[in-house]
Amino acid sequence: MLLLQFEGWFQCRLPTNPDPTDEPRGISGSTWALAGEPDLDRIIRWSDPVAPRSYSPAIGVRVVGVSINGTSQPEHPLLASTVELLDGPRFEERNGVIAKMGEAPIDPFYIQISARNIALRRRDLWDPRQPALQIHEVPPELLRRRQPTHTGTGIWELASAEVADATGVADFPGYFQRRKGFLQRDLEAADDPIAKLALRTRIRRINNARWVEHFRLGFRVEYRFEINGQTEIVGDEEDLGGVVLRSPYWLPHWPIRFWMGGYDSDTLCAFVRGTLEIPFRALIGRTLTGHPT
Amino acid sequence: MTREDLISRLTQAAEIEHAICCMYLFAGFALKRSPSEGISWAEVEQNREWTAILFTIAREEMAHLGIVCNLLGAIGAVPELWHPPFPHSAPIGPVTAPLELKSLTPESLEHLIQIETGERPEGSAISEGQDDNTRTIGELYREIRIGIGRIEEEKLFIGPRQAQLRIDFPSSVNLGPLHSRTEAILALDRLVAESGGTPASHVARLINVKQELEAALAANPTFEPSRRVVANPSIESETRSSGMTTISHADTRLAMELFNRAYLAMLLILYRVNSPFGETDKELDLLRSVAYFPLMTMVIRPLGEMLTLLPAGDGMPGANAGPGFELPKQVILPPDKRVAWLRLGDLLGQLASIAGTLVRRGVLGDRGEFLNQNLQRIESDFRRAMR
Repeated sequence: MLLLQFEGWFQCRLPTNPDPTDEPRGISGSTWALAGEPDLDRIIRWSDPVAPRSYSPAIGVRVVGVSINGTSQPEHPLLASTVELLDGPRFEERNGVIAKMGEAPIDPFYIQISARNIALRRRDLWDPRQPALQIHEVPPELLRRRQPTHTGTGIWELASAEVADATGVADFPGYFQRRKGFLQRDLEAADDPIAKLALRTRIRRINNARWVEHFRLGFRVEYRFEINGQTEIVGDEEDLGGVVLRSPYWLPHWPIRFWMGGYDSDTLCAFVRGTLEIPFRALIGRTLTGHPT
Repeated sequence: MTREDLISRLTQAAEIEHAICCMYLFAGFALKRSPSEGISWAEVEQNREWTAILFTIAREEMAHLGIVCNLLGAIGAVPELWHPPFPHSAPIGPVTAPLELKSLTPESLEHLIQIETGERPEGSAISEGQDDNTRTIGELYREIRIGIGRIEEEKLFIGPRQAQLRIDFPSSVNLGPLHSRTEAILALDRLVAESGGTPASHVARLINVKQELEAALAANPTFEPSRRVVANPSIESETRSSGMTTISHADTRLAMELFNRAYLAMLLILYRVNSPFGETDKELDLLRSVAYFPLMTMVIRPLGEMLTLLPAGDGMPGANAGPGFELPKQVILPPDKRVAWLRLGDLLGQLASIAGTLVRRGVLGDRGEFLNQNLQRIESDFRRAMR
């Protein structure tokens, strides 16, 4: 078994309730597109952020740990590789049309792990017998598989210690007040009228922040399911130090488990941390850097 | 005052709260959102602020309607969810202009301020025997409050406890059941305070918006904050009256029909939640979660906005339509649960069908397919729940 641990910051420029989820600019919710920015699009970006705002964390989800059959692999080529979700994934809650608040599945779910010479990809299908099924057609019993998992007290965790550990944010009001100070300083120095307008909007939004914006800094939701589509490998698989198990007749799933949380409604960024298990057979006689012994 | 007097006044209050909620929504839907509509980024930001205020007030008006309907249910009546077609004469004093669906202008804001102001100007007190329709909204609620205080509590609150709408939403709307005189009076006081007389009241916020709008127009006389929507757009021929604008563009008419039916479906579900007949708590929760809230935020709001971008039709070059909030004369469901749910399912099916046609014709632009998917889903979830 090849186990990848991944984590990092991602961007999601999403409108928030009670705005409709296709609201382009944000009106009644707590997230807005600013002057000069493109419309909100709900896309979860684990890399390549769109119009990142000042004080955004560096966006990018990477592999931070690799082990094979329980043994850590500090030289493995997938270490520090990029983890991405492809094809424009979104939280598909749609204000209760698809799922209740906080129970949004991510759709589509098409993960890619890419290093210099190799990329592994796999798509999760709602129903492998109906691969074209769209999110609004998925019956609740199938939807449940990809919704956040229950953690005993509910769908999400409030004021999560793990989120605070990952993001370094525990004092929510203080975090936003410091941000406001930075933005005010930037506003005084700014010349561009559109940039000034955007800064003023951010400051005003922080001034009017409700409990829900603070709450989002500390909450997390956890996802856990088995990715079931066709395995795609591009590049030299031997670099991995083994073979990813697959066959046209037998598709061992890739169990994935991750949490997302710590959403900063000013920068529209949040943190993700998780693990991906890939059924794998290590090649004897090869080191994990791919060189013959 | 008798129970019947109270029901009559509460029914009048429901119609007013409902109508002005539509007026706020219409004005908010029509505000421009992007520099591509010929306004600057600064004006986009200003428009967003005004839209947010209008939508917040509209949500509070929905809560006011909910309070009034809960009170009607609590005292043994059914909710009133109908309002006359727009425009219609204001059933309250000292408002003289009709209630209309119009875009945001200093004049339309002044009209809303006049409606929301609960008190009449000094020296114009209502006289004995004067027409009921000349009460101000404040006077109407004061009479309701007095009536609730005078009728014996045990005899007044006879409605089923279940027949009340509960909303605990992560926004400005909060609504709880009303089963006693104290709860009723507190809810009415909140309603009156939100309308006028406090620094955060509707009147205070509207005065602020009006001053900002006048300043923006003075700074840029060419500034057009709203899309060029016609007043009181209509597709109904039976209720045609002067002041209505009949929309002639065929695709726009179909989109307006979709809006009107979605609006009706939402109100009928609200009616059923307020006036259940054999539904379990779980079924009522399902009506709220599967259909009511999704229809409100994922259908009514985006479709209302889309309509203000669609052409009005022949003889109105450059003019756009908008939501007409047109209702049939009955906004009620029969008591029989099976029949009521069949009717709702049928209506939701019509929505999905019309949305599909509009998408195939490419009428609703980029947001149309999303709307269509959502309506398909709402219908299928509802039918699944009916099984």
